Order: sequence, then structure tokens, then C-alpha cells
Amino acid sequence: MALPGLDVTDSIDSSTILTRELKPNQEFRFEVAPNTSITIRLTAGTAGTAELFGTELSKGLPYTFTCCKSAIYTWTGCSLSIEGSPSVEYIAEETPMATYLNLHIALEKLRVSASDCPPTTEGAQGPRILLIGPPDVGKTTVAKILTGYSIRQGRKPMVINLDTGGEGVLSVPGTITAASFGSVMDVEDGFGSSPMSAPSAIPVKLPLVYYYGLETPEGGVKRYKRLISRMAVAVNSRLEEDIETKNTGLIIDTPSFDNQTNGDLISYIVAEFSITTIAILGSERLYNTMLKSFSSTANMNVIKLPTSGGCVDRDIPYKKSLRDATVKKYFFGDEKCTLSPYTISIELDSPGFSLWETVDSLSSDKRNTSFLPIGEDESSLQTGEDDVVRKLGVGYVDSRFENLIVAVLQVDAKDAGVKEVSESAVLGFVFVQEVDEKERRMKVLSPVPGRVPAKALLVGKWPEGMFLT
Amino acid sequence: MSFNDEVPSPEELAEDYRSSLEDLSVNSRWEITNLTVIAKENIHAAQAISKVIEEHIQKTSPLRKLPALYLLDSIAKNVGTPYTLFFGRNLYRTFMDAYSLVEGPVRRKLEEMLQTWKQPVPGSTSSSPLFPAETTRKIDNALIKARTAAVQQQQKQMKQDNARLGIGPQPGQATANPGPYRSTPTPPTNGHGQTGPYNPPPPQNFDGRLEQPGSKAAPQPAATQDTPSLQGIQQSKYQQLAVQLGLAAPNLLANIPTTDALLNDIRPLIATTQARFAENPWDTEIQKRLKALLDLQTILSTQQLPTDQLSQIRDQLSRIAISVHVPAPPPSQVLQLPPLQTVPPASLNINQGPNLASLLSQYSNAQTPAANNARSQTPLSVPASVPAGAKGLFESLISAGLLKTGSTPPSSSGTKPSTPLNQGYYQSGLAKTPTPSAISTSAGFTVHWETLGVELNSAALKIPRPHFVSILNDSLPNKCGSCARRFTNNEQGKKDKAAHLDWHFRVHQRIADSSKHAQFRSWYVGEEEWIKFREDEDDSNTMAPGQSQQGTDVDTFAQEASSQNYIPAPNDAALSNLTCPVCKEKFNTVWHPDAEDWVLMDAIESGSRIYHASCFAEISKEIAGTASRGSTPDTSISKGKRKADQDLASIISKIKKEK
Repeated sequence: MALPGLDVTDSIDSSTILTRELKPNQEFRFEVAPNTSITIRLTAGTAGTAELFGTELSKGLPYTFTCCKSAIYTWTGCSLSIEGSPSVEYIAEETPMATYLNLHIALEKLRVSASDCPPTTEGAQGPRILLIGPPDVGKTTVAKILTGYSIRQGRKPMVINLDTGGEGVLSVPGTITAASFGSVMDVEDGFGSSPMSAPSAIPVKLPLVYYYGLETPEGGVKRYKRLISRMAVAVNSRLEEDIETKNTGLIIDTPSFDNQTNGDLISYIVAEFSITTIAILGSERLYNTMLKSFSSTANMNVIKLPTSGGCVDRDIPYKKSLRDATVKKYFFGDEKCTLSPYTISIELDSPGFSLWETVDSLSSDKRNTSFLPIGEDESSLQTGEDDVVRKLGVGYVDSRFENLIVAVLQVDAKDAGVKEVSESAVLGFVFVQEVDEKERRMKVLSPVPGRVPAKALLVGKWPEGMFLT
Repeated sequence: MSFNDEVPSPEELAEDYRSSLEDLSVNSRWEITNLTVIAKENIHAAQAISKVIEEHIQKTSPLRKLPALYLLDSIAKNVGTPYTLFFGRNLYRTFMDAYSLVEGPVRRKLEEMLQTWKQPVPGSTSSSPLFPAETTRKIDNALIKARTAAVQQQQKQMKQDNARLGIGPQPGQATANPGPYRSTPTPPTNGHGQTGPYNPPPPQNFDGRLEQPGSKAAPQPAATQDTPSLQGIQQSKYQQLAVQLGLAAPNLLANIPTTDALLNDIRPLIATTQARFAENPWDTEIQKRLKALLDLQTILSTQQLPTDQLSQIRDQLSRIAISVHVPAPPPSQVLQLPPLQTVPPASLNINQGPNLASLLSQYSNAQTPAANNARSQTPLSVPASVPAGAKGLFESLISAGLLKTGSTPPSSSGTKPSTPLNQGYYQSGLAKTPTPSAISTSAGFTVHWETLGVELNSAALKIPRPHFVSILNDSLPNKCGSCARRFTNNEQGKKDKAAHLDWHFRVHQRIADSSKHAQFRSWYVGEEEWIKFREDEDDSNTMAPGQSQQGTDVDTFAQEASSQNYIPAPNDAALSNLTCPVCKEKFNTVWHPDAEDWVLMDAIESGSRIYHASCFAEISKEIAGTASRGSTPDTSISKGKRKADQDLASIISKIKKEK
């Protein structure tokens, strides 16, 4: 509105509205405490664009943020109006965005030449970038920025999240996922949302999900590698049929790799996904290790990326609350779209019930015995030496499973063997509300109405138990 | 619809009409047509109705003034007297009050409408204007007065620019002219006969969402007719630029760059960019480019740089030079344009097609640089705050004799065939620029990827390269206002964006509908399904009616869960004897093992009523078939229309009965 008295914001209590004028190449960083929310608008009618981790804001639209630490960057300078009170807010001038943009353009250059090659040739393969580094250096943020930028140029990047300890991408924590991003991401909501029955103003992305069920790869390197190989096969098959995504390539986010022991795993990922670029954030030592390891590898670029000053160490309770929020969102949706999960009971003695557990090699011996009901010994568990998952007899299903997430696998309960269960993709997750040992049934929260399909169920140790209210 | 037998009192009618007007929130052809028809059928109450409309225009929020004025326009054109007499009395006040409260783009729409009021109604036998000349002249005078200040401002600015650039006024400066005089915003009778339904321009909504299905097929005379003339104006501007650039181009390609040569190259670029900036002061891209050039000039004149850096600068300069003048249409297209202009307005109605999105897209275009260069730019991309100034400038150009006025609309006189000289320069300038591997990402932006000096190594990534920002943002300049999704500026991009905006509209509609039902997360897919899944189906043009926009696989999920066609049995005892409104038969209540609840089989809930799924499918089909014009594929929208139709019909019949 050009005329006084008609400004929409006038109707709101003006004392709660902050206005921040950003100069070109500045970044507005803000933190919002849990249970509070702020609304940010890119002021309509002014020049300038703004982006949140690579995804552009639309002029005049309200974006609501709650419980997050985030930043809005502008290449052009812009004006933001902020409603509500962020717990921290400041304007930063020093950002590594110019480097990230250079990286994007360099990747884009490779994509352009990939698009020029015949689709079936090796040359049509777009750049495949692996982001590695210690915790809290902004790996996921760089992955988001690169994804956002390539979407902005009309590309369809395949985004792969291998970080099981984080909040998860399009799924719950403890999963590894792959999804092609062919449409804009949600400014307010990380990588966005997976499909639901409700329509969504931001197109949802369809992920391929595997449940690993441990926080770090170390606990079950063997199964972690198997899942990666399995996913790599699926991703490569998809790319062969999906030329746009093939030309664009992969953007892979990883768990925190910061020491020598991960070298083997990094090499494994590089080989499985045919990585062409390794970008190291925040660790000079890791960078040099990688330089040495891959100096002889043809067509491999090892690059070092600066860390944003906006990266902050996130304390453990905060991370836990983020993870819980992700799980909660999986079942209940968010403010924009409320979902209604269903409470359903599962008969423990039914032939369609098959519960499996991930094996944590780091602590398996100790945990096993403590999990055993009184009067049982370890031999009654169907477990072998090298098993990465083990089947739980129905006698072992008790209240310790309450408040845990259980993955519903794609494999049918009757076909479930160790191999199938350990490599199967995920159909969805249920949340165990109550185990009634007398009645031989458990009450679970299921995202989808109707009976829980008779698929193998897999319970992990990650994410930890939580209370969904 | 004829209810001439019973005639309600004008007061009652007016009261009902007033409440109907309250619902007129967006520019909906359907609503306006209905209200026009009601006004026509109740011509005996014309005085009361016109009073109600005037009051409504005065009281309603600025966002709703335009549709209300379109209604006034529609009634005046389709019904005529006595409404024109009643409206004419207060026309000045009605118009000016609204005009002073609305935004720039709406003002231009009002101006366009005002122009049509000076002419006879198209297709009518009468040659007298719609409203008396003295009424419209009074409004015109007031508008001219209001503009004067802005005009002077604009002229001063232009003189300064010209003095700096050493060039005289040129037709290109008139880019901002909306050229509204020939276009009627409401061609009430074209293609629809004398009393045909009213066709307002497509709705526009400032948050970028589309609200009204009905106007999907609405013609867009303003945009379509103005386009050629503006193209013409722009061509001449581009030729002017090409002259400058054509002269500068050889220097850019010199093999050994020297500081002096580079400085020579920069100067014309700066001049050109400044000229652009003067024309589009709101365009941040140009602003940035100008700043970058000026910075570069400073660096070059103050520092000694090594040769390799000089070559880098040269490469960048040539890129900028290209991007500055590339948007000019290729000569072949230039030559095709004049015939386009001769297309008679009547046939434009046929050609317009479903262009629901174009008005919206012009809003977002106004902020993107390449949009200003786009061949088919339309008048709406004028910065919103200077509409009056732009128009005033145009008038001042006419008065200065730079543009001719005549029987043809003045704006078209800006379209002159390019002179051979300019054409030659233009071509020579263009011929030098493309390299074999240049990739044109859109109609208006070319990136020479192979010349980009950025490699994947840590050192190269550290060097700031501000011009990369424009690669990031300008490759796809055509941005969606709702979700910032980007499209190319060419025909395909426009088509895609129109489809995308339609998608937004449908999703918006579905979100509104979905809030009534419980929603849930879908299961994930298995590997095989995921490998076959293609995400781009969300915006597909080929979507079947009523199909989910989230892709077929996702859709399958939703259907799987919902198409079992049962709903939980209502707990309310009173509802247990429920019958289907279509077939009047009872529902079959059974215990459903999967749902673990008592359910009504073969039942579906729509609104607050429960139908047999099969009955509902049948009736939905029927409704879709009979919906007016069948312009929307979405069943629920058609249903909404139908319902609203019935609502209005019931209002009318209620009115009659009460009498």
C-alpha cells in the first residue's frame, strides 16, 4: 500500500515489529527459543532479494520460525521486518557466501558440460559432491545452500543425507535418505516435508529412507556400509533413468567425520557414490588427510571450505529437542498442516508380527543382558556372530520399548531374514505408546489409518525415547 | 432467468444487492456477470442499485475497489441506461475517491477503464460515448493535475540523464508508457453478442495467489494488445544500445588487453548501464552492475594489474557487454512483429488462451532485470510508484512533437520499423558475441560457461566474484511471487509459470478444502517405486482433472487410504438413520477390522453431508459437466460455482417470494 493508513502492518502492534536494513552481502542471523515464534517478512515494495540458506524469500509473505538458529542472507541488500522477539539477532558482515557461490558456479559449470553430453555416456554424469567435517561446522547448511542454488537455476539435485545423528532429512533421526529436489524448498522448514495426504503449498519431496537406528556409523559400520551400498544402487538406477537429476549430480551430507578412523568409511562412500568432489569444512587436518588420500585419484577435487561465523555449537539438550520436534512433525505435522496419527494395537502373537533390533557393536554385550527378561539367558536370542540385526522373540517385547520409534520396513514379516531386514528400505515409522504384556498386544501411534501392514519391524537405539504429547 | 411477474420493492432489492456486493472481493468474472444480470433484471430498481454500488465503492477496502468499479463498468456497458445516468451523476466523485486510495497498478487499470468510457460501447449502434464527455473530461482534468508534479520530476530527471549521456530524447524513454488508450479493460460484447457476459481482466492478487477459477478463460485485451507496441518501443531502444555497443565491441575483443583499452571498453558500458539505470531506477541488478563497473573503473585507473588479471577483467567485461545488449530480439523476430499488430481486436479474444498467470507474472517481472528486457514486456512492469509520471511523460512527448497522435492509438506510433543503418550495427554487434559453445539459459540471458574462470580448488574458490550473483539470479529471471520458483523468460517459461500458478491456485483451494478432514503422513515408497518416481509431476500440464498435484505415486497413497470408501459411523444416534441425499437409501453400517471401528460402507463425506461414494461420483461428474463453460478441470471448483449459482438464484427467488 502506497498510502498511509493502509499499511497492513499498521494493524499489528507496532512495538513488536523490528525492521532491519541489510546492506549487500550481509546476513541477518537470529535464534528463536523453543515455544516462541517470530515472523519475518521481506518487506514488499522494496528492492532487493533475500535468501535463507539458498532458498529465496518471496516479497511480503510472512515466514514463521520457531525453535531455530538461522540466517537470512542478501546479495543485493534488503529490508526485513521481524515480528516477535528473537532471543538473539544481529547483522553479520563476514560470511563465506562468496566462496559457496563460487563453489556452486563451479559445479554448475560441470553440470552445463554434463548436459551437453549424450545422456547415456559417462560425461553426462553431473558433479557429485561429498561434504565432510567435524560437528557443527555447517555441513548441512552448505548442503542446503548448494541445493537451493541449483534448484534456483532449474536443476534437480539428488540430496543424500547420511548423517544419522542429526535431525534427518525428510524423515526422522537415525535414518539415511535420498531424494531428488526438483522444486523449491520450504523456507521455514529445513529440507521440507515428505508426502502426506494433505496438499502442501510447497511441493513435498519423496525420499527413499533406510533406518540405521544408531547415532554414529561406528556402532554398526558393517550395516551402515550395507545400507550405503544398497542406497547407492538405487540412486544410480534412478539417475540412469532421470537425466535431469543425472546431469545435476549428487549433494551428500555426512555425519561428523573428524578423525583418522573414519578414513575407511569416507573412502567407502566415495567409491560407492563415485564422488567427484570432496569438500571439507572446518578441519585443516582432515583436508590434508583427504588431499593425500585422493591425490592419485583421477577426476577428484578435494577442496576446503570456510566455516560460517554463524555456526554455533548446539548443546545436547537443544539437539535433542530438535530431534524430538522432527519425530513429532512426522506424526503430527506442523502449524501449516496438522496431521492426525492413529492409535492402533498390534497383536504380538500374530504371525504377521516380526520385531528386529539393530545390533550396536560398541555396547552390545552389556546391553543385551540388561535387556533380557529375568530367567532368560543370552542363548535364547537368535543372534549370530556377524549379525547386524537380530530378531527379538515375542517374549522380549516389554515396556522398555515404550516411547521408542519403530521402523516399519518394506519387507514382509513372513519373508524377513537377517539379510532382508538389515538392508530393507523403510515404509514408515510407528511410535510405541504402550506394551501390554498380559494382553499380548502393543499400542502404537501409526501415521496412516488402518492396520499397520504385516511388515518386519525394526527397533533401534536412535533416536532415543521421547514423549510425544 | 426471468422473474418479471413478481417485482420486489427497490429497497429490498437494494438491501440484497448490498449483501451480495460484500462478497465481491476479487475480480471474478462469474460474480460480476451475475451481479450485472441481477442489475439488468431489476432495472426498475436501477436508482437504488446504482446508489448501493456507489456506496459500496466508496466504503469498501482499496483492494476491493477495482472489482467493484469493474462491476459498475460492466453494468454501464451491458445494461446501459438508466444505469449510466445514475452512475454518471456521481461518476467524478466515485472514480476519484477510489483512484486516490488505490495502488499504482490498480490506478492504471482505472485509467484504462476511464478511456473506454469516452468511447461508445463496442458493438452498439449508438455513436455517443458511454458516459457524457463532460463527465469524463472532468475526471481527466483532475488526473492530469495530479500528475503534473510527477511529470515535471520525470522530465527533469530525463534532461539530466540526457545531458550526461549526450543524447537527445528518444522514443525508448517512453518504455514506461502503459499505452492504455486503445485497450478496453472490459470488452463486454466481443465474441459474446450484445448482451454477453462481462469479461473482466484476470484477477490479480497481491500475494501472488490466484483466487478465481472463473476468469481462467477471461480475455486479456490490455496485455495482448499493448504488447506489440511496446516491443516496438523497446526495439528502438535496443538499436540505440546496439549502436553504442557495436562501436565498442571490437575493442573488447582485442587480444592483448591494456589498462587503457579496458578503460575505453568500460566507458560505453557505464554509459549504457547508466541509461538503463535511469530508466529502471528500481532495478537492483542494473544498480549492482553499474556499481561493479564503476568500481572496476576506479581499480583500473588507480592500480597496475598483471596481464592475466587484465584478461580476466576483459572477459568479464565482454560478458557484461553481452548481457547488456543480448535481450534485444533477433532481427528475424523483429520483422515478424508488424503483422502481429494488425490483428484485429476481435480475433484477439480467440488467441488469448488461458493466460491466468500473466498479469501476476508481470508483477514479479517488474523486479527482475531481464523482465525489463523481455520482448513481450507489458505495461504493468512500470514501477508502481510512477504510473502517473510515466503517462505524463508520454503526453509530454506527444506535445513535444516526438510522437504523433492520430486516429490510431498514440502508443503504436512508437513502433517504427528499424532503419537499415541501425539494423546493420545491431547485427554486426551481435555477430561478434556468440561463441559456438555459448549456452543460452533463457531468452534474455547468456552465460559463457567455458570462460568462467572458476575451478574446483580451494584457492580459486576464495576469490570473490560479484558477477556470479547475476548468473545465479538471472539465468531464470521469471520468478513466482508465491514460492520464488524461477522460470525462463521465453515462451516455454511463461507457459510453465502459468501452469505453475494454476497449480498454486489448485493447491490453495485444496488446502482450504482439506482443513475439514483429518490428514495423515503417507508411507514412504520402496526402492523400485522411488527409482521410477519423477518429482516434476507436481506442475505437469497434462494432469488429469482432479488428480493430485503431488505426483502419481503420492496420489496413489492418498487414494489407497481414502478410496476404501468408508467413513467412521457417526456416534450421534440421530444420525444413525442417515440416508444418502442422492438415492435416499440408508447406509450399510458394519464393523471394519482394519479401521477397528464401526463404519458406513460405500460412503463418502462431502461438506457436512454423507453420500454413497458411487452416488457422489455420479453427481460430481454431472456437476462438472454442467458447470458453466467447463473452464476448470477441478470438480470441487465447479461444485463451488454451482453452489454459488444456486445461492444467487435462491436469493432472487427469495426476493420474489417475499414480495
